[in-house]
Amino acid sequence: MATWDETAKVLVEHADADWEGIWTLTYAAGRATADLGVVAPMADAVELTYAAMDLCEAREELEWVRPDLPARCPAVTVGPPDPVDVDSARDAIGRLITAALARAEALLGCDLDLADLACLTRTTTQLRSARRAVDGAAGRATTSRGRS
Amino acid sequence: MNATYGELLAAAADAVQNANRAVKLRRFDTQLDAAQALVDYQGLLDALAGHTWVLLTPEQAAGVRASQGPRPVEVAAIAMAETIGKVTGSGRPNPALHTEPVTSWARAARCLRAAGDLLATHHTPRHGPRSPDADILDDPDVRAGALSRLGHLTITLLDAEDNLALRTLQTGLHPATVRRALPGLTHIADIARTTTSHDTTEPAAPGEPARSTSDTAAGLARLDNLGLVTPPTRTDHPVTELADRYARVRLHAWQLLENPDYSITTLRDLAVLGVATHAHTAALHGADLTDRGAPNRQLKPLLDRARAWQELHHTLTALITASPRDVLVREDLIAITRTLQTLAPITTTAPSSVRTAGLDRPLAGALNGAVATMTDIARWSSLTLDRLARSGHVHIPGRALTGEQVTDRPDLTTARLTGHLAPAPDETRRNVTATYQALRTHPFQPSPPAVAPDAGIDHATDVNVITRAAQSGAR
Repeated sequence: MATWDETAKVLVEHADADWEGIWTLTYAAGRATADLGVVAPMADAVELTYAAMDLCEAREELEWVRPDLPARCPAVTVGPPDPVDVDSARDAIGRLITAALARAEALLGCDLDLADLACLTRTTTQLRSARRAVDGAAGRATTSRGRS
Repeated sequence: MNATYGELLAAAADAVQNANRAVKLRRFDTQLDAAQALVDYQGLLDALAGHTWVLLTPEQAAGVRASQGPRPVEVAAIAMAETIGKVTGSGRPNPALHTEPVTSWARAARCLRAAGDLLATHHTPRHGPRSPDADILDDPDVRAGALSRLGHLTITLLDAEDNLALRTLQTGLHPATVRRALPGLTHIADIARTTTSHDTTEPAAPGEPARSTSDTAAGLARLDNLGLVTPPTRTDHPVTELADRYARVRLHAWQLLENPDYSITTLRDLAVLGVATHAHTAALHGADLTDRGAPNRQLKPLLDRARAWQELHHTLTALITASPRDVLVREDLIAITRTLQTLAPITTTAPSSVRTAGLDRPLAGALNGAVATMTDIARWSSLTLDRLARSGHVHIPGRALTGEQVTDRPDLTTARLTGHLAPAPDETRRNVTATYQALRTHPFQPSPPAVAPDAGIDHATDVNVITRAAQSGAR
């Protein structure tokens, strides 16, 4: 799972604290969550699917007020998932979501109009919900680190 | 209260039995009671005739009359309704409707009229469909079964004619009045008996194969389970709330066919519901979902379905449309998943044998019905997505396209380089459609192949419950 760790680390370090940065981190987290859900045991996969749904919605909230984001931002993914090390993958997703949340909170301190403010509020809510789902999935499966 | 068609018919039948018994066993207290009973008796006859015209529309009746080989049960039902009409008259509203129901006959008439109104909610004023169940009475076997049941009810009611005449005369009502209301209805009973004497599973037309009894029973069960088209969601019990919310999601998924909201997000939400439904149902029946490599063999079809819905969600995640989601579907999705997490948790420390020992049968029934509902939703979602794609509403971000996808497609190559939106690649659409096709059938077919049970755990009972839901729960 080195690829996921490294890619997530690069994204977290280099994503700007602006709309583009939030979109890129959210997009990467959403794709990674959906990818991981496909290979994870069903007990985790259900929660990861909920998280993917929340991340998708968070991204769409951003695109409602900034429709040009998908065209302008790099749509980076963290690569194919490794079913052996689900916990590590989940950690990487958690870091991406946390980074997106941190940038959203930083952006909330800027001069925003009401539409942007409402968008960031909804996005933050969805990101937090996704993080809860990802965290909640942790440790349930038996195919965790060190097994198989 | 969310009454179903079957419950209303059963209530009507019970009320008729009660009234018949009462008039047989005891006299009326006053002339007024006797007069009211006569009015209500006529009102119920009128309701029976009226309900015949609900089950058999005027257009269908015209077709039966013009047909060279009509179904005998339909011919008899038309004759019965027309003959009753001659007795009760054509004045509207019927005099029995002017008063609140007092006798059980009046309550039976009210239930019967309510059942007719319930069926009417599934159609538009022009008899177009308003729900996925609007076509239930288009099945000639179901219609024949319902007409036959109405014939039985009519016979039961007419059994009380002599007793009612006696009791009303005992109160001193004028014999001419009694004779006018009860002129001798044996001829109607004879016609009603004709409707019940025909085999409803006989071929609809010469040369057609006869339907099996179980098919007809399944069709009648679907009719009996029919509720209002837009019932309120009951929140007094989690299982009933679950069933109501699934019914509402099913209706919305069907409505997307006629009134698309141009939103891929709604289809994604439905896919998430598919994942949750199958995973939690498997967990309820004792499947161990924490180990990917060792699913219970008998519950494997459920887990395979959950995986297929998940793959679908994964693919749909990459697609974009211009419209927002259906808020009601999302609301129901969230409520359903919360309920499932409480009632049928996926992760538990209890061994599966313990979990299945105390199986909550109402919950199992609701979830097995939900599994059948998801097959309907898959069918309609496939059509909805196909329609969206054909009308050019489904896109993919250019930067998300892979090198393989843009090969030999200059338009997609341009989109990838510029980052603009591109139409969803045909291959993606084909994959999604293929997955939807696989999800259209129930995971447990009526005749599942024989599988060896897992050692130590007997899940045969649970699988039988699910199989029965496939036969009777599919609506």
